[in-house]
Amino acid sequence: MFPGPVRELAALIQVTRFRAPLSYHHLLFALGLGHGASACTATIGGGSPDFEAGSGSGNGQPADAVADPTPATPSAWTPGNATGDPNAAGYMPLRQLNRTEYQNALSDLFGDARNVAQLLPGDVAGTSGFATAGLASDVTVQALQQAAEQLAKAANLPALFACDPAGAAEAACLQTVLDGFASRAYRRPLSAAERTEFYELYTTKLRGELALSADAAARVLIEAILQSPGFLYHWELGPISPDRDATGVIKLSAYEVASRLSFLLWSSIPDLELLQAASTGQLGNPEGVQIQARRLLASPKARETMRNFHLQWLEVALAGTNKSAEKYPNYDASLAVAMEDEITAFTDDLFRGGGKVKDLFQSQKLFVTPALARLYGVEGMPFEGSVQRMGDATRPGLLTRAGFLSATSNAYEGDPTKRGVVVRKRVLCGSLTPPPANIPPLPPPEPSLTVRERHAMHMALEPCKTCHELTDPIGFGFSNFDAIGAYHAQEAGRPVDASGKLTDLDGKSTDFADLNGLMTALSDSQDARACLTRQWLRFGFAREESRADDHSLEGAYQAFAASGYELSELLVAFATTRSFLYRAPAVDEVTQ
Amino acid sequence: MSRSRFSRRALLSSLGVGAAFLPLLSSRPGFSQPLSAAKRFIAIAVPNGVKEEVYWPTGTVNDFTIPLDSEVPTAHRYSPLQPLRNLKSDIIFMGGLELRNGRDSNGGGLGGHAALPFLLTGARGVAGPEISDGIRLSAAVPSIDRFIGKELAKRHSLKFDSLVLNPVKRFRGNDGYLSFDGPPVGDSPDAPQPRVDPYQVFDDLFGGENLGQGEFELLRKKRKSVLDLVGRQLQGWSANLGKDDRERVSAHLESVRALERQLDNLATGCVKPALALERDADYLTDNGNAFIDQLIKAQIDLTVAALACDLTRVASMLWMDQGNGRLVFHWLGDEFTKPGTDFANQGENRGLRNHHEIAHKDGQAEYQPLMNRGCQWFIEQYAYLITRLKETKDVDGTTLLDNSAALFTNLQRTGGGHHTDNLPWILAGSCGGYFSTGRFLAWPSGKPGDSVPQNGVLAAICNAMDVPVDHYGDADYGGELSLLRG
Repeated sequence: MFPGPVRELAALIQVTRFRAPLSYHHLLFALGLGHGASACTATIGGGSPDFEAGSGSGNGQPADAVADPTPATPSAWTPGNATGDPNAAGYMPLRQLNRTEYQNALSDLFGDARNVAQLLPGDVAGTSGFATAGLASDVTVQALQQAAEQLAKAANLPALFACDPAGAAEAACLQTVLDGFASRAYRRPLSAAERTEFYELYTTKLRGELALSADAAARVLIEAILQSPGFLYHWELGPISPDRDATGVIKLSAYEVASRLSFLLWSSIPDLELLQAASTGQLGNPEGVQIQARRLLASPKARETMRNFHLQWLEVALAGTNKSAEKYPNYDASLAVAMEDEITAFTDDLFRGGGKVKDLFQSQKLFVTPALARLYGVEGMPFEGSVQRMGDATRPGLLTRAGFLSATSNAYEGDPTKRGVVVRKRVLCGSLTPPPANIPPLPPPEPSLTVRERHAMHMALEPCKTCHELTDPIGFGFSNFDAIGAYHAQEAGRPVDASGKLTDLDGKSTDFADLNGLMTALSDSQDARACLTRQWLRFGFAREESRADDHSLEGAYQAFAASGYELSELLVAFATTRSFLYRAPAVDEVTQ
Repeated sequence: MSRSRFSRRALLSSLGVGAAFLPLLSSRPGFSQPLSAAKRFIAIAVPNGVKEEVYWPTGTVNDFTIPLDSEVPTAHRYSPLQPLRNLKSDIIFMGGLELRNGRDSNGGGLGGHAALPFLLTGARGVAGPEISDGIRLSAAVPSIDRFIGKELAKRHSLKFDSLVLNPVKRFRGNDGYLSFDGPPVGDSPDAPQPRVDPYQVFDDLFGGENLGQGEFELLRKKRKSVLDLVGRQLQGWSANLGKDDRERVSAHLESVRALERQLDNLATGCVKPALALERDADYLTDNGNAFIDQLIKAQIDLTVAALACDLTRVASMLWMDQGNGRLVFHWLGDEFTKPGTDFANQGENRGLRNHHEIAHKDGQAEYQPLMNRGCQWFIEQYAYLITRLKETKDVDGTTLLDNSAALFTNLQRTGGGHHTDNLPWILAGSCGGYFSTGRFLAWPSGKPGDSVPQNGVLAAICNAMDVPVDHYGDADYGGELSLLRG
């Protein structure tokens, strides 16, 4: 009944399906194994071999082998150990501005902080571990239209453009808009073709055919600019094909570098000074890039990135969360906001004040509102602005901020497993295999048992133990903190036991007796330092690191180490790596 | 990292679609069919399973019984299917389906909470962004609603490919999609964003008619001129980009075209539904919110209207995600708004009992009736949809229900376990006489592997909707379940 080719294709699918009835992942679980990086990687690659094999019909691998396959190969980097081609650079997959970037870009362009990004669907959780824009669905495109129309309607045109399109010099103003506003939105000068397109839209279509007034036409022009790919995508090259250099990689243009810098450090578009640096050739060499990187980091606008990176890094998303009204009657939305603000202020202060990794894990500065001060038990103590220094050592570092502790708790109590998971996965860059299905719930809260005791079954049973051994003992270090991060010295009528152990990626464990011991171990952990390096790459590039990034990671890491692990130096060094200033051509990309 | 084997567009050729029906690869102009032959498809998905002892009907294929609340054991208190008692002749109960594709994608470890990419796709998963708990899989092919919807929209120049609805905005991450347009592109699931706000949906379906004719026409032309420019630019960009990047731009371009199509289509002469609920920003932002029941009802009303007005032929509704930790049954009484315990975690539900928690504890005496009442409430919504379809006359005097297939699915078998076998799905409507309704089909299974892969149902629906296939998803799970035809 159906044509031959369909049956043949069906048969082809059938054959390739039965290659591996059991996935590698399933096998590992059956054997009671399951931790370690190799298992995690194997699940993706080995677990679905059917999808790797080429069927010859439009699969992901190019017909002729790319000269340097490293952009597609997973990274093998550890500090002091970078393999592969030192001239390589990673891919730069095309992506839209994510919601935060979109909102910030518009705020900067319009000088208007109205929240239009809330019209958009949410970002997706990227494999990088950071939010990235999803595909543009019809709902997205419609939301972009609505946002553009709202902003265009409310704009004060003479102020926005520095000329009045409804004034006498309409034609000249149009050119100013294309040179100024549009160019700033695009983060680069428009190409001749783009200028013509917009000119035609304004003159022939809007003013001519539709007989709109100059004011109305200018507003539609704004709408068009804000919905166009030049604004929406991180691709400040436009629709031209780039040049490959002798080593096969593509050198990013000055404008692309400017955008990479500003989105990395400000989560927004470049300012005029940065665009000027690009246009006058100052970003063509690492020294010039460093100068701008330092300038951007020193600006208060860097706070946006500090917020954006750190809240995502530690998986702190408190909006809309609730805690037990009985146990925590004072928890409300404004307290959640204060918690997130504190993490922003803490890290901003750290990066712009020469803070080091040690300070990240051990600084005792607090940045509190009155409500947060009450939670921390420091109300009434002397303040320096909003900075409060504590006398005792109960809150060392970023991981004892209420925001992190609250995000890693349920509505009633802290969750040592969740805390351990975030530390392992995000702070150490370790992997964990997914939990199996059908896990029975833990015993319910009971006054005579501590959280640690109720989690005992994680460590008593297989296959639970293998993974939980890596997570729960870390989480126990936070045992003093409840579901909103308040400190308690006692639990179930006894002094809190906050001992545990930190296991590194090689499986080596360090025992600690209390929270300070955990933070010291993290401060000294090479895994944590290497992980920070990786996480900034993931955040900056919205992708995971690949083999082609290894030398760049190593270079940034060594500069980081040489500075005594000063956090801002990591970012400055990162901005001058091969992977930052160059990229590998995409599969099938047309290059010169 | 493995890449998807097929591009979004080449994909369709692998689905067993007859060569005559490769809509996105051919440039056949759409042709109009008389409305009397219009078939509609609605898919609904709910997580967390059921209490099998009282959910399933009893009896034989053609003579089956749905008990009253008073007829079930007191420990259960409710008969979940009771709202369908008077609609028995319109339904086919299919007991014993399995998401075999899901099970085979993760070696048995796949829980029901990662089931959505498998439910309506019938294909094993491909590597993709994380959906749940470290599971990095996504749909390999479009879901049937999108597959059917796009084809019919193109054939008949409809305003919308399909309506994708959810009473809440997607929470976070990638685990809230029922409908898919194809394999992921890079890091992004290729899934249409659900529509949530009924007022926005109303405007999207029927809007513009409140403006004066001239004003509306001008707005339309302005928007079209912008979208025209944007579309041309996207096409220009596409030429030099790498393969994955081109896919991304192509998805964007398709969306721009879809929005242009909406501009071209006006819902004239159509009965618009009245929206009973008051517009409130809270229902877009508040987790655990108390509006869910009203939102679902409004979305059902909008769906029926959109189908009746031929703005689209397909709709999908996810109530609300893979686990429903955010769903508190505020409207079902005090027992449902007591403080929750284990799954009142992450504070998504104001710390109250939620569907996820109730499902996990449905073996306990206190929670068992709550589970049944919750399931019953979902069935009430399904019954409301069926009734509305039955009340709505189609052009040739038949009812919308006569020409529809309304599929009610569950992601999991039971609440406590995460198994995706022995699933109880329900199909309502004969879809223009294609299906033989009023029957109770069952393949009760003792263990995974005994159950019938859901692919048979998916293929049958495609065929009923006049988008013929010989199988849907992976071919080794079989073709159409001919039993559905009688």
